[in-house]
Amino acid sequence: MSKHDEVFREEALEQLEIAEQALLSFERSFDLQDIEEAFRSLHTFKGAAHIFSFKELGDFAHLIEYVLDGIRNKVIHNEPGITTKTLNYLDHLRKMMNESDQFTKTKKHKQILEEVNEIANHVIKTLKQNNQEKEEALLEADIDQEDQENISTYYASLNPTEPIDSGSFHPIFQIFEELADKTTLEIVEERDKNNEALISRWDLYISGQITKEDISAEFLFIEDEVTTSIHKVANFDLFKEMGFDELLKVLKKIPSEQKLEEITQYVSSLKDTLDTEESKQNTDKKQKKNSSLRVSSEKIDDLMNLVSELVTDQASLHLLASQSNNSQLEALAENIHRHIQQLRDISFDMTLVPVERMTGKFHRMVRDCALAMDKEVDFIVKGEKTELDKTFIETLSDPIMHMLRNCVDHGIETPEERIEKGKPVKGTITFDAFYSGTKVQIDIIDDGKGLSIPAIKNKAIEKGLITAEEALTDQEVFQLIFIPGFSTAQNVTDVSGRGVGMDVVKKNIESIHGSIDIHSKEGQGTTFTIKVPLTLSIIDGLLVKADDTHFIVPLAMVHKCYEVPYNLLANNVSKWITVDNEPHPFINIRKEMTLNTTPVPIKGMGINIQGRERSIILIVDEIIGNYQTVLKPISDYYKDQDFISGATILGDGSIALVLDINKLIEQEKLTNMIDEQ
Amino acid sequence: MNNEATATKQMKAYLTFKLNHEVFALGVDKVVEIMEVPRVTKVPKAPDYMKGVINLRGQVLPVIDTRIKFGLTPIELTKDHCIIVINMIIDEKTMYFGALVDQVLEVLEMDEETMLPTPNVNSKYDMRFIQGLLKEGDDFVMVLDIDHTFSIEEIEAIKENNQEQQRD
Repeated sequence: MSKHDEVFREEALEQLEIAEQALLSFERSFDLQDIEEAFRSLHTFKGAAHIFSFKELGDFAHLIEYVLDGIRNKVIHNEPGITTKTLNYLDHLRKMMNESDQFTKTKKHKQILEEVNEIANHVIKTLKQNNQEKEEALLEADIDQEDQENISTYYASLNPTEPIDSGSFHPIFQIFEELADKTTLEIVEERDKNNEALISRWDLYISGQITKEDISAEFLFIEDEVTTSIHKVANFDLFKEMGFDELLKVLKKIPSEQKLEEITQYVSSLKDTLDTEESKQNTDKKQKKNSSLRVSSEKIDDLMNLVSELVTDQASLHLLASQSNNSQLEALAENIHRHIQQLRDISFDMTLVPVERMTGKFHRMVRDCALAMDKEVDFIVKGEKTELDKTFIETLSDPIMHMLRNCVDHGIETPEERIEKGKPVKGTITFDAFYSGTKVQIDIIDDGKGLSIPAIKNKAIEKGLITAEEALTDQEVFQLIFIPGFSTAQNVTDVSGRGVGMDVVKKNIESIHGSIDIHSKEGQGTTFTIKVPLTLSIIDGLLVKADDTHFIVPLAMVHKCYEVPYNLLANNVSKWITVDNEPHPFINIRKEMTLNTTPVPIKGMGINIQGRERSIILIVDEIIGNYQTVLKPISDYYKDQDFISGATILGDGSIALVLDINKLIEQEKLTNMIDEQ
Repeated sequence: MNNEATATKQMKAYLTFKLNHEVFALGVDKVVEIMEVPRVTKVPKAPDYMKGVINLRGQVLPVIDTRIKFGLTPIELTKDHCIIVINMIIDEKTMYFGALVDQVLEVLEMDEETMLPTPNVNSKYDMRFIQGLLKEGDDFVMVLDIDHTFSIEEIEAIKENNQEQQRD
């Protein structure tokens, strides 16, 4: 594939995605704006396809445009399943892009093409007819086919020489009726002070495609009885403006002489806002043009790498400057430090993308899934603006897809079951993303049947994963579904339940140092909680030292630090240590890592670390302090040493190893088990 | 392989180095640079031949003790020791690592055709890692098959061997 094709693909897929989203949104809201949006993006797609001479793609997109046109002009908008059909066409378009040229020769393609053609022809025909009818109607009404913009608003005050009885058949009422047919008309009557039945004055607010002369001509016949004064107050439709209703109320209360002035003031204030709105739109547009720029992700990665280098270099510079006793150098280092921090923040920001990038396809999937299963599901997305590292979005997208599929398939009951249980017929699945400390939390909540603890247990016993005697907490039972090969679905459907999945879900999430938890109540629903760090490349760490080796502990996990004499551990066989009057399990890094080049100091430090499953006290020689840790991979040669999640370079150029505490705890647990055996 | 067939008529450059008084060579195309041994940070619980990691201008580079790799005694570091930084493509992924050797000698320009097949004589070295022999004057230089020698699988294999030995 040539470079140009790649450019086209990227752009084209994006446009299709927009169109798809718009259609899904239309399906929920029936807002024709969405159809416009879909139309626009498809139009862009078509244009691009023709530029890159993918004629077949362009032509097919052109046909879909007709379908959208049909919906927009209410020709086929009521046809059942028209959105689903259109979505299928979009899918087909995507397939055409991905498959080889041979694809367009398949029977399936021809079928779809025929179907679209049919709809398109129907739309074209109906629209043509409609247009003719419209034209005829316009001619009949004898109105020049003027631009809608030609609407003006008038203010007219009518003063009868003699007050007119409101109950009489005075011709003026006839005139009002005629005017009201052609224009938007608001009539305010002023009653005679002495006789409520008599009208002493009218104020008319008229807006429509009408001229001042037209209006005065209407009153021509009663010229003698009524003095009219007509003023054009605006060359647009005031009735559509914000605050006009309120203005009318005000106008009723003020003396007649001031009314005209009041209206003029209102109109001029409107013009101001119109102007500013317009200019704002213009500047918005200008800003928008500059605001988005397509950059290849490799460039961003390169930039991030460079920034990471800079952060490391800066640490060296800082060290050097502080040793130099040169205040100028120190000041300079301080400045550079600040700038690099800013640079780091900005470049970080670039790698973050909102989660709405992935929620789009979730909407589609949940919808399709629910349709396929004959279930009714509302999919609610909250916090779609929450930002995550783009690689995380890529990693999380598939696992979440899988979980949502599970929610629809196994979680949400059929409408009949739901009615029986007294639940709303429509099930709800909520995707909620939000920041939680240095992590992003994503909750996937369904109000379905929940996880059945006995069912999971039975299955696990059946599979030999646990024994019947094992007493497990609910939480431990839920964790069982993450074991490879575990699936509780009674029947394997085409949607989910193939028994691969939840273990892969967990693995994927853990690969980006995230975690997943389950909370579920049978009959009420299930909540999956995914937590992932904001980013992986730079973390806040606590730099510690044991023997001659530096380690980094992720600061987010550090709870508290204590001074712990090493001799306290020496005679300790239980692997428990008491701090704050409470026993805690501990891991002695020196012993655990067989570090023994330097003699054991008298005093060590204990760090209380909150691991995923339990907290432990990590024993080290010395705590050096906070450290901005630029994570570096530590090569596949060390893939067995997975309790080291990476390395970082310290200010003096030496290397510190970054600990993966959860892995360390797991390992410790394993060795303990072996010891016990 | 085609590449090799066309390259046979061309001169090929080899970097020679010493391991335990014996001269070895490897193709320079795989060599990124040669450096003195900086401070090495040992990774705990790793096998002996994984010497540790070093800071190569901001990158973390694993260092392999080539002598242990060939079943010799571990290197006791002196100032003569060098690290040859090698890049290798495994599964379309470029891997960098440092090979710790006793001494780097020189670059030899040799006609590839002069490379002799590995003799089947018994040797104190594991001949599986030898691509062939080059004759330089009266001496023979053993050319290493880098991809084979330092592949992850191979590294895993030594680990198992070592473990077996430890059990013995």
